Amino acid sequence: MTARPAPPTGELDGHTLARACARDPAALRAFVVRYERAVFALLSRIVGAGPHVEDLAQETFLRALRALPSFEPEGAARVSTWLLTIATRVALDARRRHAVAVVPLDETLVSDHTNPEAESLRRELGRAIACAAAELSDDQRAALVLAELHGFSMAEIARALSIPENTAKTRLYRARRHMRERLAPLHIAEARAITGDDDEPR
Amino acid sequence: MNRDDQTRTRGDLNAWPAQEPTPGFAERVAGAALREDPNGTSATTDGRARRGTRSGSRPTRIAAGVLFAAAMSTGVAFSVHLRRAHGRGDVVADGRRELRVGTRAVAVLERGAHVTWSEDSIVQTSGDVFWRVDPGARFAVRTPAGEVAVRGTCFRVRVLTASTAAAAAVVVGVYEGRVALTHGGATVDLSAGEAARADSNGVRRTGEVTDEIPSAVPAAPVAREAAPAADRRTRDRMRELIWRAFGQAPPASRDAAGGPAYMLPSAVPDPPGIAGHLDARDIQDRVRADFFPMALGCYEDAEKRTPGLRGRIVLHFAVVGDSKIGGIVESADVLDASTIRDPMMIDCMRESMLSMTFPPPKQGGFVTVEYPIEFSPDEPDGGTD
Repeated sequence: MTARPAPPTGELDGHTLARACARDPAALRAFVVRYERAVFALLSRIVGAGPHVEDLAQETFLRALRALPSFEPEGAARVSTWLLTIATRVALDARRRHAVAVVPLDETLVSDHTNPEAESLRRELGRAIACAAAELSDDQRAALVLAELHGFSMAEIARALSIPENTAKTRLYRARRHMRERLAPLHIAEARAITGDDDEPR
Repeated sequence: MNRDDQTRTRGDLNAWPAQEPTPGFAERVAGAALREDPNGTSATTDGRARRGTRSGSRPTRIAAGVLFAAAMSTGVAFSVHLRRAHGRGDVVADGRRELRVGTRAVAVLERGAHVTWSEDSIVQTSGDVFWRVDPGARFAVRTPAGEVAVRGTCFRVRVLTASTAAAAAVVVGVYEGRVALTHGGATVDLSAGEAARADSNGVRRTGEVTDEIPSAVPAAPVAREAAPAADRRTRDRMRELIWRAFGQAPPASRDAAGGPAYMLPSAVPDPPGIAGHLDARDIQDRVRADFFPMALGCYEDAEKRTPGLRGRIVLHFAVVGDSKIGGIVESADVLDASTIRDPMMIDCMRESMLSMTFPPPKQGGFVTVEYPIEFSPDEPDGGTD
């Protein structure tokens, strides 16, 4: 994998958002650059890797840019949460249309570590996670990705998946349980830590 | 789950492979967004607006899938669904590259230049591009630092800096005809031999044009069929060199000898030589960037003959190549599984595919590809949330 510049962190500032609303080309580009890694990561983990991820990412950003004038920067939702909610819906819509199949990412695309032993372990772990996650239902996988990798609260997951909060909690619980069961036989170190606690949802 | 568990959970799940954004993605999205207004209405260069489509006047859907035949050593199979309108494209040049853009323009992009277009609505977000435009209605190239409007001429647009809108600058030189460069409400009219610059300080003349016209530019605007013919000559030269690199004389070209319009997969012979390997994504990217615009042209012409035409064309083609020379399409056939039976469109698709170049198969040899493409005049829904 070729070296890439460090991704920008944090939320985009309000001034740039306002310029993106006004279709300023540089601001539009800055908006995409700021969030493209998160969107690609979320989409590829929910629907599987491949060229279709770029199509879905483009659809996500275009939907978001159309709706950007109605986004309230001073509101409760962060831009990233709002954008990843759109991405989740785009991904689940694509899956419902059977437009894409969940295929774990080719390991050659994610090799960016220089320590061969650590890299090997990481690949093994990555393969195991991806294969186990591919067996989840779409909603369960989306809940897992949003909760564990994008820091969504249960209420935000429920909103992204258009389901009640208790249902979101159940799906996340089942996703974690499935991951623990699938990873445990592989003797991957600290598999339990990957899947979180096993408290039944109330 | 306690806080330590949560921290470890997220840390370990980060090993879950994630796909990286493709180079130039942000520029492509920004270009696509510029062609829309926030209501999903695409504006035309003459100020009219069309509602109900987001990408052009004659909405077209293409769904394309690729299935790689047994010759592919990886056996990769995947499918994608794309949405494209007639005359729409998005190109970042990796070297000097000539393109037909929209219905009236030929562009020569220098390395790094980025152009997106839908019909005759053009956005140049970066780099150096020479433009030749057919005479006709107003034609405009939008840049981060102003708009260049013409009615039929040759001119060069160089976007100098585009990291921020305030820092962006555009330099325009005119070779033929007249051009209007507009920035911030101010306009400078330029005649042949004149140049101007637009940046945060406004728009102003800068003197005479000094750059030469690229030699790759054709003498006159070209019709759709002309470029494939020129590409075919290049392809034929490369083909001869590739087969010589194999130590063989080029076999008789099947496409030149004619043949049935539709073939069963079993009737399509592999080229002589060994089966090689080509990354599926390399093929997909090249087909999407270079072949789809030509395929849309073929479909557009066929739809004029048969309004509402829709259906599938299944292409079967073989790529042969050498690492030092590159890869060309050795043969292209339309399989019997196709549902579109327009003979001229079939010829157009085959000719267009034969003009394509690809990365060479690794370690040389050939790769065969089966590529179904769905055509329909319908725009899929794409409502916003």
